[in-house]
Amino acid sequence: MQSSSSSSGSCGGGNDQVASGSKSQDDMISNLPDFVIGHILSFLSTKEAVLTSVLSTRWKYMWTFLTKLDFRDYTNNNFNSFSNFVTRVLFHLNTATIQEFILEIPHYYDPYGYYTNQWISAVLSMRLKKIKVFFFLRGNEPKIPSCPQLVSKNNILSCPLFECHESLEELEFMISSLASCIIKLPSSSFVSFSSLTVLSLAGIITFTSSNEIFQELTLNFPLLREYKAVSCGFSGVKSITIEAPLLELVFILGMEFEQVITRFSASRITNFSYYCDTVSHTIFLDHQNIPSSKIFLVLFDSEDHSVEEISIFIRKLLRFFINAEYLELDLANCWPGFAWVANYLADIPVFRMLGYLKLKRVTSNTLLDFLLKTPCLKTLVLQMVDYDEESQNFAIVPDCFLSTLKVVKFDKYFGGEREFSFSKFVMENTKVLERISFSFHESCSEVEKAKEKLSLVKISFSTVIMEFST
Amino acid sequence: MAEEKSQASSSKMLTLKASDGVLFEVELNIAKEMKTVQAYIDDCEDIETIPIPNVLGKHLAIVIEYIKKTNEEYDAEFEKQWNMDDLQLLLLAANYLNISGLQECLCKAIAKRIENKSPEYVRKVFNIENDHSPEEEAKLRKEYKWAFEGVDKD
Repeated sequence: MQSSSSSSGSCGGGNDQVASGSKSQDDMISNLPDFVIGHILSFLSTKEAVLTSVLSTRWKYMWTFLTKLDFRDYTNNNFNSFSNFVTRVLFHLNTATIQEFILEIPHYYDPYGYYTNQWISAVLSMRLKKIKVFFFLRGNEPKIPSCPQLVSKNNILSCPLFECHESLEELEFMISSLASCIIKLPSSSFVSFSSLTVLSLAGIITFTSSNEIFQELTLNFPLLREYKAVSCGFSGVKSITIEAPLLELVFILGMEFEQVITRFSASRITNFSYYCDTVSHTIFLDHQNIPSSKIFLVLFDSEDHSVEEISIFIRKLLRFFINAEYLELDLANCWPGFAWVANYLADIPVFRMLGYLKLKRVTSNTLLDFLLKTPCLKTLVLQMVDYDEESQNFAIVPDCFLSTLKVVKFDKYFGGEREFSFSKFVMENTKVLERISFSFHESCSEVEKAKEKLSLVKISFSTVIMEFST
Repeated sequence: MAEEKSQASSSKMLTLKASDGVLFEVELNIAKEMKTVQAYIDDCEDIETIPIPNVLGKHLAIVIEYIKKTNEEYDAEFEKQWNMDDLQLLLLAANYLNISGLQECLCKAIAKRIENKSPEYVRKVFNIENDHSPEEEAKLRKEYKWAFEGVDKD
């Protein structure tokens, strides 16, 4: 509400410290140097910083010493009012000293990116350390769209980001699924962002190398720790090498566009998530013995490749992670026909360090294939599918049953034959099992019966805890 | 008078003298965090007692303790202890002594205290007198209309 300059009686509660016990009536803060006040205001949103212009005449332009810009509008109100504000702010500031630029607005505010492009161009300078642009769908909280469908190919942002390639430390573009964005790289086969520590892109984002088509592009990120790419792709190149010696976190979800070989030259990855179409994209990790700890893989196949091709891809991918300690794998969307092909994963490598394995929608044959290759497994979480297949061969007891497997958890347990057989196999053959739990599928109709059946299984020793939950 | 015990290692001790005469003996590496002091040492190598004319003993003590203990946890708790006056005086001290980590911490703390508050409240907290003419103020509110949308008296 607009307010007059008469002061109200009460102050806010909470942890406000209004000169309690201090006798000072001086206006100390206005005597601080301008840039120090600017620094204080930089911790506020730009909206709040500009409000200080009415505090007193001394404060009228204090906010122009801001070094960080933070424009967020979640009110979905009036774009004109907002854009006037941003344009005015950028006009009065010394944009060359801006270190951070954050913009979070609903997509419909600027559907073609006309204003956003101008604003970003105004602050692109050698000092810029952080850019975050988030275009969300109306009314939503910020979140990364999962496998967005292409609605239109409006090129929203064409930014010559390379201008701040030496200073930029964090780059985050999250564009809603209605738009796309192009990031132009200089025409060279070696591109370096020497200070970048966080790279997070979501939305249809293409990296292009000007007009020439290079076969290979090397992206050099000597300080990069996080790489997140949702629906991103490269155009104009056939293969890309990402050099990132300090890279720890990789998150890739859905790659678009033509087949591009992506190579990561990074030996410190500790967290790797890959939710992609198999085979269509080739990915290489340069150091086969990455000390990777947590791996999340969700693979699907939208192009009907053969079992052979998919098996080969999966085996190749898994070979990068033989040192993983934690693996979650969901292959359910790969050619449902897999269920009928026994042992298509029989040749996967041995995972010597794997302590935790989570498999979603897996058949008992595949399950066993994995267990035979995980000698140190401590925890197994699984969700089985009950396809009708040739009889399982449980002749070989996996090593981990005998020495390390302590916890087994069944998710979405249906009570089917195969599931029951397998749980029986586990209970009768494990030597160090401490707990086995069953979480029932919501559509399972005979929960009590299933519980009873399981309780009757003779477990190899009596101290195992059996738990049920729905 | 606050004293610091020096370690067995031969780290040189320095004396800092606050504006109210209080003396502090600190190790060289602690004093060096204050870039102003560092510059002083660079200029006059033999100096033993460095005068800090703008900072009260009470605040200098807090500053020295900050330098010794600073880490993420300490910083998070640090700012909660002081009232607004102290925060400002500490910021003035940190600014004069040129200690970037402490400046950052204090700027953030002050900003936190005025976050989501109306201009009227902020004036009160800082004892700022509003010397805008009503026309001027109205003009500003109109020029940056979007910023003033939805601002209540707190």
